[in-house]
Amino acid sequence: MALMPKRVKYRKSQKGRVKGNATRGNYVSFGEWGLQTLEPGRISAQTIEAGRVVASQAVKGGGKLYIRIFPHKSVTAIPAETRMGKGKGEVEFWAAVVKPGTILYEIGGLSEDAARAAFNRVAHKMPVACRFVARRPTV
Amino acid sequence: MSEAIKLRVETRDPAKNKGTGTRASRKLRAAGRIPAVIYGHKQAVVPITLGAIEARTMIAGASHLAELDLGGQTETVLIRDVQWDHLGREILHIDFARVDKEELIETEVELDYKGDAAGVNDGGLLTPVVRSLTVKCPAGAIPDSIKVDVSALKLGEGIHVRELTLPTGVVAEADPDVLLVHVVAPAQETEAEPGADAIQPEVIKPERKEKGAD
Repeated sequence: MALMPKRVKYRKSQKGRVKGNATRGNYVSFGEWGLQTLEPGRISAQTIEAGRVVASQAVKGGGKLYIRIFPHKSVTAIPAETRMGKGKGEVEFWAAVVKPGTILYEIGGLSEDAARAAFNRVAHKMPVACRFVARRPTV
Repeated sequence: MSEAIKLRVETRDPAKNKGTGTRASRKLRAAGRIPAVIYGHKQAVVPITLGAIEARTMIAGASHLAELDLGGQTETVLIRDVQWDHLGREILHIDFARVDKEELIETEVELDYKGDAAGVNDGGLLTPVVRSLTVKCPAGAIPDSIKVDVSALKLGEGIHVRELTLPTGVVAEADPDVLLVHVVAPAQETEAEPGADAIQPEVIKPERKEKGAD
């Protein structure tokens, strides 16, 4: 089942603009390796799920996958061949808004090569440019 | 315990507002230098710069202590904080705190989980919960990492802070009951239910104030 909030205050939200860089959730926290976005954008719940499925296959039998983003934003659309007006369309899908630097997924318990191969497959499914990152050194 | 890294640093230009501030810092970074600051021991705060490559080598080496050569004067310092850019590629700023090597300090030390857990062979998954630990120790005796042997861990078992074997003079500054690492059974994947995508979230309706109510 695709991710979406359990309860919301308002069902429909305005489009908004993605400005600036990620100042939170921009480093590997839970696993050892991460997939970081280099561009701003929206990642739909369906895409997050597709990435999860691909990464899960890679970590099967050893390793743990963490999803660091959640689709909080509803995106509406009006049906094709509909006249303008008559109010805002219905919710089409839910999406996570990401800024450059946001960590999308993390993997723990895998070697670097295995994690890199897994995230390479996930990155191909993402609508934004991504890169493979490791944990920051502890100081 | 690693030796303190020796670094040559320079003070920032005192003529231009001590060389501090956003514009001065950006110019320094463009020139391959990193702005930093030395403070502590109730002495003056000294804004300094150091080479970006040396700084990155120092941080990548997981060093805690450094000996800064500031125009002939040597300061022993602890790396207190490192600021990174949003992608975690470039170091933006470093905080150094003055320390004596005998002084007791608190710092974060990485936990190094060693060995192949017995529970992993039974289908379990070794899951580290904590990856670094706050410890109190003399500044001159900060361990590079704390080695934790996980080879005896069976499925469902874990290691807590109280079970850690710490080097002499090092005390953990954490609740003894905190779980560090455990071997858990892998979670079962849930299949998507047909038609589940059609479910919409519940809308929280705001409570309306009744007219005339105080």
